[in-house]
Amino acid sequence: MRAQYRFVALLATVALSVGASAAFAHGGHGGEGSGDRHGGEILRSGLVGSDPAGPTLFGVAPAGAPWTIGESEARVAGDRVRVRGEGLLLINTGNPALDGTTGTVTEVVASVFCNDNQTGTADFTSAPVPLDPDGDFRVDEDLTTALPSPCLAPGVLVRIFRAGAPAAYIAANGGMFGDGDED
Amino acid sequence: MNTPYRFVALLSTVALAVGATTAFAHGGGDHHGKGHGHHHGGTILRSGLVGSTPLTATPPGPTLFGVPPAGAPWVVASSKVRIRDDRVRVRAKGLLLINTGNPALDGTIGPVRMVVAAVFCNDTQDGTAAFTSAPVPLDPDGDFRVDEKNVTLPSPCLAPGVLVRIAATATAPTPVTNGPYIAANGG
Repeated sequence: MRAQYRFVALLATVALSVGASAAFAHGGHGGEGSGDRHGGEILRSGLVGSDPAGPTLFGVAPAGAPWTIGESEARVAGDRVRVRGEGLLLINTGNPALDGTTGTVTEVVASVFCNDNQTGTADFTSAPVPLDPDGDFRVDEDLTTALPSPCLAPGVLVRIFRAGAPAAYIAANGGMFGDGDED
Repeated sequence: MNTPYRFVALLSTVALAVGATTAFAHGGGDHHGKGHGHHHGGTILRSGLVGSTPLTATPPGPTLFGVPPAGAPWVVASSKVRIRDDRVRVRAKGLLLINTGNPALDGTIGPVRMVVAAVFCNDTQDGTAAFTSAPVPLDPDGDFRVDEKNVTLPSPCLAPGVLVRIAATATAPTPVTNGPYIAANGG
């Protein structure tokens, strides 16, 4: 019985530690700025599909057909860029055979722009990743070259990768993420 | 012996439940990252703030969305930016002048008394914000808090950005919304 008591006491201690650790990890969640980077998160956002009549962003024009996107997330840190989307698909093209497909787009890149850069040349562009037929893609890159410091008013574009170069954007950050209940 | 055993067993169960609940809550936080591309009251931007650098510095601070930085450098100790399509929350601690060349000014708010938070959408370059908060006090420690509800932003609000702009100074106490920025979101 005594050994059993000690085991349960140990279990309680471990469990309390786990609970405390999880709580602290949650408290340290991204988005808290300190004015210094130290690899911390500088942007977290969702994505919105592009519209041909939409704005040129950072010197990059939107693609020539409308795109929509399902779930998505863009996270930019000083040392890592993660952008992913599901259901990034053509919509309302006027050609029912194209709607709900990725059309001719098979690869995309994620570009990060800082400091109101209007040159069209991103401060970071990922390697191209596949855009699968369901419109799903995922970029997750550690930065080998740091973003400008500071990187003010950062923005993220998902761009068609064609003929060996980034082209028009088909999604941009600014979409909803989360349920709005977070502090 | 039986009673303390039961108590510790209960404690263990409660502690595990708390740990699991907290861990799941954290997992739920990750779910927050799943955007739908539409605005339904969800968060569209989380970020922090960075103090501004003047246009005259080397290298100069950028003009953002058509708004120039203030004429002296600012630093931010800690900050939080949360933008929803219907709510704007921006707060900071220690938004203070730094490296002004005047030691009496460094570490103070200088003449600034009030600030506004301005949200820009769609890479606008004309200095016109999609939303500008009511002016709020910048206290002597450089602390301020904006929390405005029932906000209407353009839909979509692509590539949203947030500037903290000077609204009132000791010598110009009537609030304005078109002042230079002293902090911007990013990192």
